[in-house]
Amino acid sequence: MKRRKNKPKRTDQSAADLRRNGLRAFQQGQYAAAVQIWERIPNTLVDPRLQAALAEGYFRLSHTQKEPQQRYQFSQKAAALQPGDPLYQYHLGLAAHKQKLYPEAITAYEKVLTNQTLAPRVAYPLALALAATAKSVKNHPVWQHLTAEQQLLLEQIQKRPFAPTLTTPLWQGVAAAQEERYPDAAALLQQASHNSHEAPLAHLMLGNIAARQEAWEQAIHHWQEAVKRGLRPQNLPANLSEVSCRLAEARLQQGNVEGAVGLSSLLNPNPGDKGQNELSEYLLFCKGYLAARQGNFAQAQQIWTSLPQGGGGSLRLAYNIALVYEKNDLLYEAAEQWREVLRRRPRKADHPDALNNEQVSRLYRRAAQAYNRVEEYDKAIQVYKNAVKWESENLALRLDLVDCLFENGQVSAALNEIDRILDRSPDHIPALLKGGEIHAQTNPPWEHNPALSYWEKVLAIAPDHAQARQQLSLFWQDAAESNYFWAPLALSIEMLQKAAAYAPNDLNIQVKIAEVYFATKEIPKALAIIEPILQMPQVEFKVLERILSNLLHGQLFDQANALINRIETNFPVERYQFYIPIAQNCLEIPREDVAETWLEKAVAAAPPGFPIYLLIGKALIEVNNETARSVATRYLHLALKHNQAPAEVRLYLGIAAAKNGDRKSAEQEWRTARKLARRNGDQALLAQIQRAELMFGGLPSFLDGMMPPDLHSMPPQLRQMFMNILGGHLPGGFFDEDDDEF
Amino acid sequence: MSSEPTTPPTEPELKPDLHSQDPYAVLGLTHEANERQIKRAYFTLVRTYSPETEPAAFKKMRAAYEQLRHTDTKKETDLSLFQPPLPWTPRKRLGRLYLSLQPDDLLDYLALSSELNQADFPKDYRPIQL
Repeated sequence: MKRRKNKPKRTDQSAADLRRNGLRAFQQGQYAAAVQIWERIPNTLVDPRLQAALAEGYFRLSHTQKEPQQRYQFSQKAAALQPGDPLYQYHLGLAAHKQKLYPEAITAYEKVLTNQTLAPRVAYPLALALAATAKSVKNHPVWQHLTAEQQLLLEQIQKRPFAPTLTTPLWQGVAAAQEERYPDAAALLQQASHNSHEAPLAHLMLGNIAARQEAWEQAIHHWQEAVKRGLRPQNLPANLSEVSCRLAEARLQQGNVEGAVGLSSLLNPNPGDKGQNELSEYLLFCKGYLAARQGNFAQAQQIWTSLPQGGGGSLRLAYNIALVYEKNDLLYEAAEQWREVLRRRPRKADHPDALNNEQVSRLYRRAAQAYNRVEEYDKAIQVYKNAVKWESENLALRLDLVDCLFENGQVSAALNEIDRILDRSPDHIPALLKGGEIHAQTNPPWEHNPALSYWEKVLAIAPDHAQARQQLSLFWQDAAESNYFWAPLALSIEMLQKAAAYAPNDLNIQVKIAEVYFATKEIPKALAIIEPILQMPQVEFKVLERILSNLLHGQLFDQANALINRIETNFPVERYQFYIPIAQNCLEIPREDVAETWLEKAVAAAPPGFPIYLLIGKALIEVNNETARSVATRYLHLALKHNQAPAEVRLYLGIAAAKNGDRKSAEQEWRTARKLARRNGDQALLAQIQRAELMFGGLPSFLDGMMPPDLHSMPPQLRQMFMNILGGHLPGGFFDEDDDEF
Repeated sequence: MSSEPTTPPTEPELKPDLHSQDPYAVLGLTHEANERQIKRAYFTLVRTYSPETEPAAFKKMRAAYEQLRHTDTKKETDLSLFQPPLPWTPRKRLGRLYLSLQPDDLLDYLALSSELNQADFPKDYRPIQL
């Protein structure tokens, strides 16, 4: 039997460890940790040294506490652990005294009074505690331990009414105030306020006198000074709050809103004081308003949303919260808040905040727009319908509802709403345009599409309406391209000519007509269209690029070369980027020899260090024939040789192999690509590899069956369909929907 | 709904706030201003802030005027303005003030000069023996 090499782990610390660890914490001033550790030692109380250490730990811990309650609690523990220790008793008395627990404080102090060392320290606090409980200090043994001045003060304080006879300015001032000789009192107290020892009481009294004279600002100043010097008079918070209210009201009366708002932090209303609470909320509302007007919307939102929103006068608050949510881009919250505003609006017409029908409708519309922007279409529709109820003849509003219904896929409802608009205003052009747009997007682009009648009606009303003409032109272009495969090409030409009739200056349409002629091998007809365009001095780059593609597909290399020269001369093209699509076009024919010339030029034109071989390889894989893939593979190997992003190169080599039906090689390339990508921590590439495996690894036969011989020649809708099948529906698919190239 | 607490200023009192996002404030008006007042304020201020001498200020005022000059845009603008507070109605009952000197206040004052006002007592700390 083997011996166990490892000893079982110790789960508990030994008492010695705990003592040592506690001591270390204690020595580092971590008294809370120290007492916590020592408390875990079994039978702590049996060991007198440990007990004394624990008491000292609690004693010191008590002095690190800011809260008087906790200070008292830890003092109690220290005193309980060492009941005979007068120092702990004294501090227990102080802690109880600060909590205003006078009987407990007196009991603790009295235990110490007989201690010769501590008696002088304990006497004064004990005398104060006795005075606070209205017990006679003079008849208590503590009296003999007090100084003559302390005896005099305490004797006078305990007399009713209080009438000090001490001769310092402070006590003379206090005496004058007690006798209601306020100007004398103020002068004496002002003098006393310069003495740091007397200043706290002097400021308190000066504040009281100022408040009697309704000098609110002075009262606030003096009371704040008293507090700053450690005095915490019982009535001060309430007095400060009330005086601040009175000053704020005076400032509001003077139109000094900012000055009033500045006092809001001094208000500390009692929950039962309705007036002060209302004023406090009013000032905070104003504070939010000032912040919002200065563009500080975050602060305004924070202030307003912290206010209670109930009650009758809260419509403005609800309204402003809705607006500030909008400003802070919290649109859903804004929409909900607008509805709250509408729920809370006064129903009586003579109310100052009453809303008329139009305002109600506008607010519903605003809520709906906010819902719409966060794609909460169901809620938006519901609210738009409410808005329409309040303003049924507002056609722009109804049109907003149409948009929302259509966005939500409620096509019939959207069209019904269009009909309602047209019933009210048959020539409403925006509604006609929208109706055409909905039909165009929900029906195939063929000649019986109802969209046509809407747009044609717009042209009947306004023959030069640019948007209607553009829509009709685009519609017929789409129709022509859709018919490319399924109907005679002559029909496509007819449709493109209709498109051209609505956009006579659109050269792209002319080139599309030429494209059809190229497809039917009617080269002279195609050239008859293209050549006049090429004669024009200024033609857009995109039009020339399209013509170039057609010339290359028609193998009219001389004209193509001339056009390439023209483009290079007139447009700031990056040559290596421009040459690669030319090579792609040549490989689509396929003419590898011509393509190779342009690829060599691309390599020569690429900037030093640019991964041109990888770029070429990636581009050529998009051309769907074996010749192109073979050239692509060659360039990808060159990319490997030149160390141009090897992991990505392996991914594309895998795709090329998969497209050639060589699944084994593809998998091998992808394994290598994944290994390299992991090593580089390239998560994006790992995701791309996974997508490639999904798209090209599992379904080669499916792809072969679906892949048309030449995707470039497909009409856009069909091409889009293939793109969707191949990758568009996969997250982060390989093909960008906006990219015309496959 | 958008009434200001104060009455609209008369022409000589116009104080345009060119930093405000509120077009009424830019023209020195209150939210109650009608079309006539808006127009008058704008043309009065244009004399002071002409496009030649104060192009930036003029641009700001022009933009504010554009937001307010037509009924429909004014209505939309009004809907986007923060609602000012209604005038404050003074409290009917004021709170009580306690201004006579309390014995507790005196004792609290006397306590300030005792060890009750002291937070820490390092001189009372004693070493431990473990």
